[in-house]
Amino acid sequence: MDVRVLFAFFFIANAFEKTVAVSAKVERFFEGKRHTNNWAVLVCSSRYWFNYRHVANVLSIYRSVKRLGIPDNRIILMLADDMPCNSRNPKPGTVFNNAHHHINVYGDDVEVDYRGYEVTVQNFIRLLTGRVNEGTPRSKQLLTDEGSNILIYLTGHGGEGFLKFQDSEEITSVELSDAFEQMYQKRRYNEILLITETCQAESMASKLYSPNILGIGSSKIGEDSLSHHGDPTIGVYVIDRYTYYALEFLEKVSINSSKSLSDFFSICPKRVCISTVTVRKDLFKRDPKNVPLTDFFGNVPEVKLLDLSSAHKVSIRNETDDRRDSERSFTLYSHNVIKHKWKKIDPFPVLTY
Amino acid sequence: MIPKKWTLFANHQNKAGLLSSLFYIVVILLLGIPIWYKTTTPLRHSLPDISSLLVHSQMISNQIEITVVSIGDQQRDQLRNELVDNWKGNFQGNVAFRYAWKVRQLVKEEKQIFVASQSLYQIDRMLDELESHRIKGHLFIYLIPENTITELVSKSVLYGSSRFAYISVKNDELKSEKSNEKPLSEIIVETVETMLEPKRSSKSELLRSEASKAVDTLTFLLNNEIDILINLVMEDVEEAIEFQDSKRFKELKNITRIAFLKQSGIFELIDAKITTQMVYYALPPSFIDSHLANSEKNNRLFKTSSVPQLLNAIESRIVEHDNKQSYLLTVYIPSQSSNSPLFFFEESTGTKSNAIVTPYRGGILVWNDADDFNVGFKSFMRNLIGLNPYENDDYLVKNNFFTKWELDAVIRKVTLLQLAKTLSSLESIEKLLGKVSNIVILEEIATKMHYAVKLSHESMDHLAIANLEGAFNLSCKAYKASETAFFDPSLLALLYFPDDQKYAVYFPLFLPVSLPLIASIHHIIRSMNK
Repeated sequence: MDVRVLFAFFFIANAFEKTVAVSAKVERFFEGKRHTNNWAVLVCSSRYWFNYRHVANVLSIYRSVKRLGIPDNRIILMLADDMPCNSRNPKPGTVFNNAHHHINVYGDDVEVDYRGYEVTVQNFIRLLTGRVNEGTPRSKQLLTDEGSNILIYLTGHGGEGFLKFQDSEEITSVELSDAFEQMYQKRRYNEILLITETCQAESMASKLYSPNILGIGSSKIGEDSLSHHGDPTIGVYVIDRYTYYALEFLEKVSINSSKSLSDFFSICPKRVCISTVTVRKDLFKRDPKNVPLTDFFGNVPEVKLLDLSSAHKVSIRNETDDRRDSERSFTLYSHNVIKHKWKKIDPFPVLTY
Repeated sequence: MIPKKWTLFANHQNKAGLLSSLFYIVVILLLGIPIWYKTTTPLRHSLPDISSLLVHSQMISNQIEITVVSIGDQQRDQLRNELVDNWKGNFQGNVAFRYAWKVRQLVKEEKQIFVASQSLYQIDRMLDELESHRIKGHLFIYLIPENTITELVSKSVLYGSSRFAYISVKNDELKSEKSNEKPLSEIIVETVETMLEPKRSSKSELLRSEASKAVDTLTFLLNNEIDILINLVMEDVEEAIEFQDSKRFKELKNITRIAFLKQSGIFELIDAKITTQMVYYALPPSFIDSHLANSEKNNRLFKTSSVPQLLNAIESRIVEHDNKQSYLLTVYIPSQSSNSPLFFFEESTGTKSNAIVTPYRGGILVWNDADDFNVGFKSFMRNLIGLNPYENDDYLVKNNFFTKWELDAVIRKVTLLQLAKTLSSLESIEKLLGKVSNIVILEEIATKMHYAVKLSHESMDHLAIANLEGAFNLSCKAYKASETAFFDPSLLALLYFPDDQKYAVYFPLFLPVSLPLIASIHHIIRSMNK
């Protein structure tokens, strides 16, 4: 063999080996950590009064994650319709999880981030991938990082491989899994728990291919996901079966609870749910038995005491000595900083005719 | 000459039908198929060569210019040889440093300072005035004969407030004064290593210390801008009304506005903005009392396990600007008149402190004594940029927020992290295009990516020639370009249909058109064969 060819071959092999080693190193750098913060994306994709139960579903989960410590600015709540203020609601400002009006899941303070016709497939995908339009407020953005555990809860009307949004469009399982892949590539999550409460919900998780995602569906492919019971005072069904039992279970969970994810899998056995709850575990690396439920449903911030006993005081230097310093500012942007971003507007202008 | 076969066409009975089918074929070939192809194939401009960046990033070496200045009559040549021969650099860990040693005597300006100054503090300050000593990332080690300067008697190494360190050495000897077994060159190298990567002190800097999470906090600094939001929560609403005129408010203003923003040098690293807001009625009346551990005499101890509730209660009441990230510092001021001081108490370890940090969010500081805010704010800010919350004993000056060499070390870390993140963003776009076939790359995005690659290369080159400032400026821009490229909304221009749906979209259009076409093609072929 020609010596040059041999040399080239050796060189390429060497370079390849190096590249592989490098990406392995990069992977380890990002994967070595456990989660540091929690987020929740809760979506009710259907509107109209007869879908009251979907709003009750999503608010049940909202109530639970908030109670378990995820702050409102890390919960993205998408509600396609406003049931509490619907004129057919006999008790305005409330959404109940059962006909006996035990729990008002609407609560006292609900922050809806996307509402009404803002709940679209496009907005949902943009939210997940972070590719939001310019000027989108922070409350409508999922500002997660490689340490974030995200709970994604979807409820609405679905079929095999899709979830309907607003009676006008649907998100397919392919779109959803591609969105997750984009999140994975940008390291926007540590782990995701995807819960779908729709008919044939299993299919929403079936196309996923990115790692560290656990998918729970309220029904198998070919099965309907059923509602729990109706409330004669409002004339429609109040809540779906799976979420009804999920809420019942979560109400007993406290921040310091030792309940694991695998406990959550069995909250709705077939005899009460009628549909079969499915779990897709193959993408998830940890054993659900060892994963505390609060890794997704709660937020237990790491709290560290800071010892200040031997810290020293800062002394403020005389300003005149430091004219040189005080005139300087962060140089990178200083050339294009807009000094007067807001124009002052006179509230009582003098009108000239 | 018309071929025989064509005359056949000319004589064809249904001339119009033939022409129309030819017309259809032409339209389909020249218009239909190109349009179909164009509209179903995502537009992709060519991407930059990311693998070259990957290879380059593996070879980043940080050149560090180190000037060793001997003041006494030490044998410089021997020291120089030893340093140059034995300490070429530090290649352990993730970052490679290459040391460029310069061993010399005092220059004229330095000599004047040393002669004129009374104390090491003064020397330290005056040396910093020299323009030649103000280069970012450039370190100076002064070898000072023992017993000439009072501050150095008890310690063999002292770190200055600027980019200087002082080592006390015995006259006529190449050995450090205190530790006889260690050669001077080794002590110099250790000093340099500390200045390059400020070590966390062995003392309990965080009372519940776990593995250091410097990288976590550094992600706050990647965007080069941060909003520090100080939420003042006063236990006594009556006092809150008078707070604006109080001494404490003045202190808060001075520390944050003047000492931190103007004098600490933080602007070299990040564009920080500080907003202070008073939060009224943030907590239910007996909230604090209901979460107390068994109190000490005169002190109230708040359980750290209840901190999440406290944080959530306060955070639900605050107003935030619409910004990318904010660091939330809650300052809780116990009632001056009626209540005793408040501390956070870790039940498992039995430790208490008036300050806590939570990664990614910020922290809470209880302002019990007058100096608490001063000390606390400094520690929080040091913690924010990944430094030890307070200075070690061997720092010469302790009343600054940070020393310049510490800030340089953070700038270097942020630069490297930005380069790593830029690379990973660009790589992830490349990987995604392979996996998700319908992503569109507009020219604008491709340009941004090319720009990010170019700037990253340049930034690494600057690191290699010891230009930290240039490298940092470029890495900031590269990071920004790569982030905006990745998060550009146009990458979602097409929704991600499965491929077969592409045909489904056009099929209904083509089917009625294609039926007569197929019939005429069949007819043409038959006529030709006749």
